[in-house]
Amino acid sequence: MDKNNSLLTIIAIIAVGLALTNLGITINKVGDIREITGFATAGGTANLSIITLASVSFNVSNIDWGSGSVDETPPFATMDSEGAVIDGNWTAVSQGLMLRNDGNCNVTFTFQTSNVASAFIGGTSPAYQIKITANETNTCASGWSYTSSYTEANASTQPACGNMSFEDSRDALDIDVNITIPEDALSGAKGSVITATANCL
Amino acid sequence: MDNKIIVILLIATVIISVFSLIITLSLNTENIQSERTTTIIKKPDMSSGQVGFTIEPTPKNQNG
Repeated sequence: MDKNNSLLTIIAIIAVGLALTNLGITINKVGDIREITGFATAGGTANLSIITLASVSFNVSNIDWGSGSVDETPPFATMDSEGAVIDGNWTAVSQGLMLRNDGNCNVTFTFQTSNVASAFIGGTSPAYQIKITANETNTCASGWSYTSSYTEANASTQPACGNMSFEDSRDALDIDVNITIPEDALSGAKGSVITATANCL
Repeated sequence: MDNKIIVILLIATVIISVFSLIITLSLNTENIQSERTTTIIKKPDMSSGQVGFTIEPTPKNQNG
């Protein structure tokens, strides 16, 4: 009987020791994995990608004065996208290009014309000028360029707005164009492309 | 006789505990890697507008 009790005691002590060891290790292991999202036996990975999307589009994408010619005097005609046609008989255009930031981030906005006045219009002393203004109040929070007056296009990338908002109430800019057509500019169709580029801040 | 039953139960407990310990150790959490990455992708965008007109031929600007 005593022998049996001794054996019983030893086995019981071993069982309790193993159970306590098991408990301690389990608690330790659970502590190791508590920061994991999900569970995996080999690896747990949580990747989060946030795409800040710059998306600009021209709501008004075309300025077309149609066909016309320079009046007899003076030797050039001037017209802009704000309704002026002076000393020529082209069709007045009263709406410039309108650019909208449809993305989900504020952007820096630059633009580039595909050519300069001499290539676009030709003749003696032509002019091809750009002016950019807010279509909505506070569209551009900082870094304005080309805003106070018409500035000659130079066919290189030009900064226009350093912080253009994407909020619907203030996400649109007007790009107006002013051109001077000399009387000796060659006849025919004339065209230029204005490319706007937006990069998320 | 009662003691034999208890001994058998205790032996079973020990065996179960050993298996439990083996299973717990096999989790090997050192190989479980927690990797969390946040990537912000900034995509630029471009758009184009057109400016155009036509110059009608006159005596002063005939092409050619």
